[in-house]
Amino acid sequence: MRIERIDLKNYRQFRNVCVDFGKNPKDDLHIIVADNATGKTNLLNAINWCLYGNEPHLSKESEQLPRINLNTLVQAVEGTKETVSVELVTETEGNRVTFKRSEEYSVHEDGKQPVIHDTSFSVTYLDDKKNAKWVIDEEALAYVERFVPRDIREFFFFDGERLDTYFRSVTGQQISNAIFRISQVDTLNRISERLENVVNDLRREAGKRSPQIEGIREAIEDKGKKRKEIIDQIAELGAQKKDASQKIDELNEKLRSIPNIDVLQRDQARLHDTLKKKEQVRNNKVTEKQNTLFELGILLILNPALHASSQIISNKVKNKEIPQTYDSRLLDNILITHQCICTRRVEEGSSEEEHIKQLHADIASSSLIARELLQMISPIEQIKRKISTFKSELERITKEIQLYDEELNDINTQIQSIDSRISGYNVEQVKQWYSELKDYQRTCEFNIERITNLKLAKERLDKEIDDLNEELNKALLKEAASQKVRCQIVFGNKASSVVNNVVKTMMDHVRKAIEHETREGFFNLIWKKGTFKDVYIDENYALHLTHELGYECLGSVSASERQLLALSFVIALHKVSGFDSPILVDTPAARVSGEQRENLGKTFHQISRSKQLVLLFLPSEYSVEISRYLDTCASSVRKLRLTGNEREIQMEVIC
Amino acid sequence: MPSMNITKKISEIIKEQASNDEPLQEFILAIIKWELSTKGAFQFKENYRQMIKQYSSKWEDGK
Repeated sequence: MRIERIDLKNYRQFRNVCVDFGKNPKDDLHIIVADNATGKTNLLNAINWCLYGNEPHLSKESEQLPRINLNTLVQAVEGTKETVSVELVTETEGNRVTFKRSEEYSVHEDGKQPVIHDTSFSVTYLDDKKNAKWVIDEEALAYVERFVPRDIREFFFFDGERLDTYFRSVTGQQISNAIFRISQVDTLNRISERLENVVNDLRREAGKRSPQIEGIREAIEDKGKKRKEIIDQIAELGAQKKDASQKIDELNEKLRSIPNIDVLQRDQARLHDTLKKKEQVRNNKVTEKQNTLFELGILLILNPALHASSQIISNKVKNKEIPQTYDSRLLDNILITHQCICTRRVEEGSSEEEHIKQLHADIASSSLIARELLQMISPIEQIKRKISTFKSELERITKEIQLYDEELNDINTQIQSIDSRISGYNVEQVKQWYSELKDYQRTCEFNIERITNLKLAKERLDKEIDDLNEELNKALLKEAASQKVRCQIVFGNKASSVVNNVVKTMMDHVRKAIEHETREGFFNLIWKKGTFKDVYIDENYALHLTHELGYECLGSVSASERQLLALSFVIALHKVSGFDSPILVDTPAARVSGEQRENLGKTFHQISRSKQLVLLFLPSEYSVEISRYLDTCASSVRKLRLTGNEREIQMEVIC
Repeated sequence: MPSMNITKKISEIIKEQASNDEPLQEFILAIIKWELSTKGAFQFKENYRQMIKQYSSKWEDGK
């Protein structure tokens, strides 16, 4: 389908505008340039309103206004009727098909809202025998569904600003819904459900003939309900898992170049702790060094005296000037017993006794001196040895302190490095993201486990239902009157089973076909050859782009590259679905700048060679980088401007 | 229009899944055709019952 013409009458700012989309032989590219609030987005709304009866891109200001053009309303005579209409003339499979929606308004006195009097929607086309046909209402809506289904219109007519965030806003769920729609899986699912419904009726009918059959039927129905509950739970958990996976991808994208601050902060705390302990040990070493130095100081002062003492003692020993030490016990015994060793009595108070006492005192004194002098030798030698080892001891402690200093420096460097890695980030925000990431990962793991268990439970129920169906079949075989119903039940079950298998196979087939076409389209259109490795759609219907180096890069590529991927995906969807409709993009380059605009311009040109492309630009968007390229190849370039009272749009053809 | 490839692929899979069972294949294709033509807007039970009756009888005869 391609749009040949849009006729707008009294539709919002378009009082009477006809946009003709005649194409040149090569390209089907149409440019419309307009300021904000000058009807650009309302052109998109007009197409949506014409085909589906609503306006999904309406601004808040427009929502407050009636659909009918304000000048028409003001100039209308009270009591008359005015009509709003949008007519879409298309060329579809070689035929001209015209879609027209009208709304008739009754105009009342000033200040009152106009009242919608009548609405109509019609489709005019040529049938197989080339007879003109005109259909309305349900039939006309069914006709629209054949060409641009309402469910997937967002893949045909969209706001270009969304292209940049396309894969964030168009979730896996929406993509899977589109694939459901395209692969006619929605129809197949409906058939499966309805078959089940009709087979249940047949069983109920058979159950009326025998209580045994009714018992089995009730058991089948009961298990069928449980099975349905499990399927619903699996679907719900699956949807939650999809959402969580998408959030994980988004958070991973955000956090890809951001360090894990939580882990770093834990490392930093551990380093601070080690630093504190090491500083304590180092300080103890410094104290040890100070004590050693203090002790050494004293010993160094005493050293000359000690040395001299040592010398004196040595000399005295050498010169044998140290008196012999005597055993005083002999004299003690004489003084106690008053008897000399020669047996002569030593009288108490005698001069002999006085002499012995004097001798005893002299010997004790000289022995003490000799002993003390000799005893001094060992400590003096010890002190001398200690003084001689002081240097090495001091060096050892100093070396240890140096090692601790180096270690402390190293730890401080690590702490500073963590500081510099963390600085510049909103720490709380990043921690929040990491925390959310963990939560979503937990949700995913939990849901995977639950889904696995539920699938096992479903398999068990499937088996039980199969067994019950077999039992029912046997019971029905015994009832002569139930043979036809039995045959219909078995047939219906078989059909339902085949349809369910077709659903699974088709979903996979269409997903792979869209993935293939998206990949082909993207690598054909991308200007940076060799940067990307792959494009794929995972089982959750999320689209992925892989960098040549192997990492997921959808979130980190430029806006224009993301737009290109979105366009490739949309074109793939058109191709695989067969809903070959135009692409209409509002503000297609709003988020793209400079050189990338030129690249995007070239891409639009390339796409327009095989598909009708209507681009609605803001004047600032249609900058020289893009216009110098598109002006030369576009089939038409038009400008929309508001008239003096800002209630009507005029269209100016640029080329 | 939905791609002919999609319709063709569905037919292929049905033939594969219900191989050597022509009445079953025909029944499912007929049901799909009916669903697509009516968009399921009409009463389905009567039509489904009628089609099951018709094709199961053919199916039973062919056994």
